[in-house]
Amino acid sequence: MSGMVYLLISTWRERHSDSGWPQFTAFLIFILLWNLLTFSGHWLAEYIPPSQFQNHAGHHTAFTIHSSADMLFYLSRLDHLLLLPALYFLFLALRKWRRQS
Amino acid sequence: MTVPWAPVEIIDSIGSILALLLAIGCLQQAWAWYRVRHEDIFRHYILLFTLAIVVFAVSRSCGHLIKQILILSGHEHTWHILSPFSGAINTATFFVIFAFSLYYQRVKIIHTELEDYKNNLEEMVALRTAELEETNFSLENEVTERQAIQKALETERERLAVTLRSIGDGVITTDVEGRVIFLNRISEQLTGWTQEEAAGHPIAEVFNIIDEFTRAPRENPVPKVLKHGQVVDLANHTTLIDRNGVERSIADSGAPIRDRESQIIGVVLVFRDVTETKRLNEELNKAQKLESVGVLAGGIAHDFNNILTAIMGNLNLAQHLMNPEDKILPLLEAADKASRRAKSLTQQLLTFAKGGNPVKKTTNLGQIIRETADFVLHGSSVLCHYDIPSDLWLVDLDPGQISQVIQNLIINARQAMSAGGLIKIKSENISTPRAEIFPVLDPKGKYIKTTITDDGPGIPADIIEQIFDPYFTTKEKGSGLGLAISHSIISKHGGFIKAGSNEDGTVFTIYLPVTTSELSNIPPGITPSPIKPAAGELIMIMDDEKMIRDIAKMMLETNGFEVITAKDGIEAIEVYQQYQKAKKTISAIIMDLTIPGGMGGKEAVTRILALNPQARIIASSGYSNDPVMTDFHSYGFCAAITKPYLINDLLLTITQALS
Repeated sequence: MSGMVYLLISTWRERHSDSGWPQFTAFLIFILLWNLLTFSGHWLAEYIPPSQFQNHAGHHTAFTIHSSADMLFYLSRLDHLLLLPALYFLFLALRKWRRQS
Repeated sequence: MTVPWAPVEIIDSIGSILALLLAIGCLQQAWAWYRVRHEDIFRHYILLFTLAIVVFAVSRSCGHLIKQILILSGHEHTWHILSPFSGAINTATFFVIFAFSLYYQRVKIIHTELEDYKNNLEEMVALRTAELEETNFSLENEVTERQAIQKALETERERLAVTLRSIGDGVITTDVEGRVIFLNRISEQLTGWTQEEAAGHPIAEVFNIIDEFTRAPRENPVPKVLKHGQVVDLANHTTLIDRNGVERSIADSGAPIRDRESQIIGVVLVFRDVTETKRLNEELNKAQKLESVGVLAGGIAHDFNNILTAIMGNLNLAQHLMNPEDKILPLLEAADKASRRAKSLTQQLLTFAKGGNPVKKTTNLGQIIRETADFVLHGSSVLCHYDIPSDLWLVDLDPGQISQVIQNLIINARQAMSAGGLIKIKSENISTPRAEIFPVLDPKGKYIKTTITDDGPGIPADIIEQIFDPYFTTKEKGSGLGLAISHSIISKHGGFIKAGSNEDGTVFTIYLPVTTSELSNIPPGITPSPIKPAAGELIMIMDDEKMIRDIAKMMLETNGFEVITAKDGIEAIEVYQQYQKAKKTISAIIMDLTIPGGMGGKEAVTRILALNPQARIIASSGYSNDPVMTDFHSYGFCAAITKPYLINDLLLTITQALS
């Protein structure tokens, strides 16, 4: 996460306006947010009691939210919603650079 | 609030699959971008960074898919075992990504520096290229200029070579070691070496010179020029020996060849063949010497002639006055004969001195031949056989000159037969000379042909054409003038002389034209007697020599003439005027042409003819070759008489003048 921050600051300082760099910056922001989210999710998981999960046939079927932390934990389980845009923006950035050259 | 868990599992599964696909897509794009410029370090960095992301995405996606599959298949326990490994891989991968992130700045700096360097390099290359192009342009100009200079140099070199080869003098150039570099055409001719043969050879080998007299080798001028660095002239009397041993007298000089820094880089020798010039100079010197001798001889002959005139006149007069039975008469005749020989010698001396035109008189050639040949051969071991007919026609000739011709030929024959031998002399009358052999002769003319044959060793065929050339001689002490004068004398008599020779001896053939007057009336072999003029005629004798005046006066008075004398032209004119005033006629005047310090006959004749155009004036001189003597009519004289003269000569001339 600190690496992503460093990268983001570095690219921000360089003020790249060439095509591809805005997409790369977006990639960094999304991957940074993803990092924050997954880190938070992993950390909160330690404090979620199994009782908050409803199970059926050994599988989770529902989750009871009592607080914002529970909400944040539930959202962290949906981290692909950040990871996929991040990878997509990386794809776009690379494609633009390739086409540009 | 209770939220369903199904969306979590669905998004996780589908998201993992999509993340896997996007990761592969990213890797493809990164790879393609990298391949375009694989030397670009930043692209390389992005490729590796993308690869780390992809590895992470693949690892995580695969992990999540495996997790979903294991949970759904009731193997949750297995997932709990694998879960730490999957997390560790993800964490490790993210460390790698972190590491890459940290190196972004450094890579970017390197990339920027490289790009800058690359850009600068292009600029530098462009700048350098421009400089190179400019240099190249300059070089091209320089090359063009050099080519033009080289062409001009080659043209100049060719012109110089052509000039050197065309120079009329020999030119040889050497390097500083004295080795031949160049020879021009004349040098090739004079040394016998060609340019190709001589190049590189030592100069002394090609330019072989010796002293003309001592035959010792001469110091070659090239080392001397190299030593002193100055122009060096060759010593006099230097002979160049060519490759074939032919020798030539040469004059030459050597000079150093210097470069721009005045350093000697070689030597140039310039020389010329002076053999012919030297020969001409020697001949000129000889001619000048002969001329000096001739002047001296002429002067002596003039004085000697005057003395001889008195001697011969007195002897002749004494002979006439004496009784034919007197015992003294043979002595006088001997003295007279010796005097005639002296006269002949004087005439030869004058002919040698001046080589003038002959003073002809009708004469018997046979008599001259006999007298001359007998005189020359007297006391020698050579015999002479004459075949001269008594009816030989008379010839108009100068007895002194023809005698000299015969004398020259007989002397040559005698010298060719030093051990003795026989000379045959034959004379004959020829009416129709063979014009094809003697084209200079008149085919309808009448000639006396005389052949003088000896039985000596003969004349070599290779020099027989040159024997009549002046100064050509095979004798050590010969002047080379004898046959040349003989040829000249015969030619001036309208005749022709030729030589033939073989191993049996030499034959000289002389053709002389016979006299054109009274050919049949004059008995052959007899000198006509003068018609004795009427006594009492008044004759004036003008001569600076008193003894001549006296003897001439005695001769004439003895034969009935009245004689008056004058010592020079002025006195003669004065006397003539006096006699004119006194109405006395001077029948003839005998005038000496040359009066030292006074008026001679040549000037006086015009003055007297001005007084009396009918005056009969006779030229008298010891110089038989004087133009006035040979062409006296043109100068106003009516006759000419050569001193010394005898009574008969004098009477005959006066008779001709008065007739």
